[in-house]
Amino acid sequence: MKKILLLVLLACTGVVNAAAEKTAAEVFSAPLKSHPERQAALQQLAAQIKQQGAITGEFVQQKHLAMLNKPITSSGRFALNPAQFVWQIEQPFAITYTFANEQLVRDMDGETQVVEASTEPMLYGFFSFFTSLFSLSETSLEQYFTVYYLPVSGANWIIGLVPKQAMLARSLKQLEVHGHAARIDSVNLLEQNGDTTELTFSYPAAAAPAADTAAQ
Amino acid sequence: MTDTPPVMDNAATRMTSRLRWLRWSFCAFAFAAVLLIGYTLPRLTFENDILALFPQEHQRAGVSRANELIGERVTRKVFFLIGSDDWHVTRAAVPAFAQVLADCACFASVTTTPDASAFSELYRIYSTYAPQLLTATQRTQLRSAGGAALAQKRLRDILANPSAGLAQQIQGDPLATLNTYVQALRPAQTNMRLDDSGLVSFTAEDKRYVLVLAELSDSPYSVAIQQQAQAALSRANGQLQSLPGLDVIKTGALFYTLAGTAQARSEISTVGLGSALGIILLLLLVFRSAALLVLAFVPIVVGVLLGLCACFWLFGSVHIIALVFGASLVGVAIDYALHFFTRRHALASAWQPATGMQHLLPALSLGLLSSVAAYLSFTLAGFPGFTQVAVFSCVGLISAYWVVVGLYPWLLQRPAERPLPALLVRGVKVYRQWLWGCLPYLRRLPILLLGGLLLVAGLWQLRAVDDVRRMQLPDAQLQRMDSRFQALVGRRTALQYLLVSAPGTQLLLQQLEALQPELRHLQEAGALSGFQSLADYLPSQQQQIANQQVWREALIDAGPLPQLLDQLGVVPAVREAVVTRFSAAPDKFLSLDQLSPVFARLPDAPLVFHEQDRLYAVVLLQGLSDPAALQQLARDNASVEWVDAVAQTSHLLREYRLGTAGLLVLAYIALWLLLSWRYSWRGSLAIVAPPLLATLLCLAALGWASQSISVFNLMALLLVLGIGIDAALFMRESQGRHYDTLLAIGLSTLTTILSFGLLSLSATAAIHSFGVTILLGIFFCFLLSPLAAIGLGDVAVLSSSRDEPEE
Repeated sequence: MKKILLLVLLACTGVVNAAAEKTAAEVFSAPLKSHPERQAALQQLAAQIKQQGAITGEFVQQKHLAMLNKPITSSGRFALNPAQFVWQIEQPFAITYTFANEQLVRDMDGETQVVEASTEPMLYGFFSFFTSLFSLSETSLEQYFTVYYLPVSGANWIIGLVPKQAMLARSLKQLEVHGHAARIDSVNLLEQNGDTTELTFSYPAAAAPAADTAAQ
Repeated sequence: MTDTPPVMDNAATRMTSRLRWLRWSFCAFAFAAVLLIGYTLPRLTFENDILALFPQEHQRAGVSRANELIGERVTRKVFFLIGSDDWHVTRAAVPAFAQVLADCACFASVTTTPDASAFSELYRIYSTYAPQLLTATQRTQLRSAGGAALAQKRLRDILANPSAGLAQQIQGDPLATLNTYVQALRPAQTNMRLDDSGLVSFTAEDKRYVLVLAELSDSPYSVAIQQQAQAALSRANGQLQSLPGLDVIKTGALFYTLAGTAQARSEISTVGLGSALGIILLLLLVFRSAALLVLAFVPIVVGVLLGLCACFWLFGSVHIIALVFGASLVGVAIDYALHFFTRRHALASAWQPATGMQHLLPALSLGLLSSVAAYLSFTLAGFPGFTQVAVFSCVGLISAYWVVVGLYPWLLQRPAERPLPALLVRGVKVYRQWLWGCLPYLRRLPILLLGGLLLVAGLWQLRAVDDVRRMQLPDAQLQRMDSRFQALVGRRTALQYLLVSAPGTQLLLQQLEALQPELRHLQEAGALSGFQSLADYLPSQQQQIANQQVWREALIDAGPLPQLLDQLGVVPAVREAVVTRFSAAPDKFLSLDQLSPVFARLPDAPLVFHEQDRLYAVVLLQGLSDPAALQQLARDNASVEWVDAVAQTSHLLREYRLGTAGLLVLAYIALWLLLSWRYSWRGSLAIVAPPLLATLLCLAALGWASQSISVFNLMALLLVLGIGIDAALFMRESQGRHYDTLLAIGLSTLTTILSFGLLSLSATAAIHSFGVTILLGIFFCFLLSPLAAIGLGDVAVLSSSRDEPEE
């Protein structure tokens, strides 16, 4: 039931196309390790992404919690380059997270604060994860997840991630990453309790966060 | 017995049969010794805990268990911080380093990714009791400022948090009060970072250091563990050699014990080699025979090996200190051989085992008896390490004695082939003339007065120091590393701590809670930088009720929680459930039993234990700068005890110093009485005089040199008595007539100084003062030994040719 609900929700966002919808369930049929040709394809993709160097774009994040009668929505801009990852939330209020050298810094109300991995592990883990994801670093992803990869029509692809470690698996069921060529279009995160977090990315020209230079 | 002596009086006949008996008993002894040594030697294990020198104190209830628990937690841990100029190279090299260590059986665990699961488990247990758990700061804030600001901040955190797990957070810890409570237990480390592979790193001085945590599988004092760890460490370091600008900061008791063992080893080889070489040279010069040289070492080898065996069988392992002092056994054991050889050479062609042994056997036997008595008195001092030294030396000396009286007369029946060097004989005779000539001057009043005055003035300047820290100075380089590690990773936990006890859990918790504000007050005053108490982890039931009440009043009754839930759009059913759950009065309480299994896994868990129907909790102190303030705090609370192990040990050393001084006086009186039986009370006094005066002169010299004295100096003086009485006995037995006795005493003094005296080179203050005392004491003993012959008639003493063997 939940899976269907999720697919419906995904369809509503309009980002995931019909072809992807059919294959979304298929991605988890076999892990990457058993498909050498898919593994090669993913490595090729990673190389392509790496070539791109810096990525900048906009995001919309929606959290659907069973206990809430409305989703929690936030939006803003992000920038990723080999040196750092900037996540600049603009709505509902301004907060900028900068992740560089495995250190997470939060800018809020003009105050800069280092977020410690030991005090906010979930938040820290989120940024650590997205840094590996955007660079499609297979080895760092493999450390925490079983990786699935499915090429869809044309340049479209889906990556599936299932947590390996019990700690992570207790709250997280799976992740689905949809992309087109060297771009990530959306990430769907499914929790064990059925709550979902859905991130959609768009790449209009000149979407670099204003804080990018300040964060240097 | 091929060459039967031409004349045999009654005494010589008795001696011959006695020698035959000694020979056969020696054969049985040698057979048993070979078996025992062959069986034991491969099984020998060594131990080098310097603390084993000090007695397991007769402690107050709970203290020894607390010390044991703290020791277990602290002493087996080993930490490394590895940094280089290139972070990526460091990161790549560290896993191989850790793997090499992990491959060694000496490490129970080696990790670069600290396990946070125990902490998550603690959080999981706490989550059922969220409103019952508040820190004192949280209580004050909620009471005074209410919860509106808290709810506002929480709303923003939830809305702007991109990560998963929100539903659980909203239901389980809606206002993040539990999160704050838990974070207070684990102070955030501002320069700590965690990378995506879980490596923990610290940044300092433009370098990033990876933390490697290891735990030894056994005590770092075990020499077996030390050897394995040393080998593993050098292999592991090999993995890092290619790193540019490599900097490894290491800390843990292991490195101190490694340094201690290395030092003890090099000292044993210095002392052992120095005395062996010196003694070989002496023997070759005096007796000019390679066969005698070999024979001289037989009693020593047998003595040392059997001493080791005895320690092994009695104590399970041999203490390295016993071995250090044991190396000096060489110096005492060789005396027996020296007396025998000198007598034989001096008698030249007149030598016969039976007549030769007539004055040697009583002197050797009485000498052994007094040395053994002196060593055994070590056991009365109650230091386990010294008990081992005593057993080692007694067994060693008895064995050496047996070899000399059983084997030597058997093998050395013929007279010596070469006489003693003429120059040496003449030298000794001249010295003896001069010495005897000096004696009358000593009886003159002005000289006696001056000597006495110098002596008293020296003794007057004598000061005692019993501080254990000054007796064993730790390696300076290791201490620097320690402080760098502390600066990077965390605060230093003081050696002193508070021990709180009560008959039950709730009473104990209440007492700990009552202590909290006082400790915080002292913290604000700067007496300490932090403390760790069970009260931080577990409030008493009384406090849990109070916490829940504060929580409900500030966060539910005043409205912040319902408002937050409404703002988030929580569905009515969940909203009701959350509000009901957090407003209900507690029907069950968080208990110690629930937390105990987690505490066992948590690296910094508070220490709690049961002993004899009482429950004890240790309050650890950090950054302690004013111990007196905390001592006062403990004095004011009947259930709180201040434990300062260092001060206790120093106090004990003082007690033992006084005890040993008493022992020394007693030993002199006992020996005087014992010897009176053979020599009359005046003669006995003359025998006791050389070591007694030597002792006083030695103390006076130490006083003049402003050296402070401790129990170790007094231990050495017991030995001066044991060895000095030997010299005095021989002097008395030979009635001061034989120049060879003086030669033998001189040789034995030289060998003793060569062996014990070399201990004064030790870097360990305790061993150094032992060595210096022996050096001075034995030297004075030699100078004063003629006093033992006083009262036998000055004519006999002064006539240089009477009763001397023909040359």
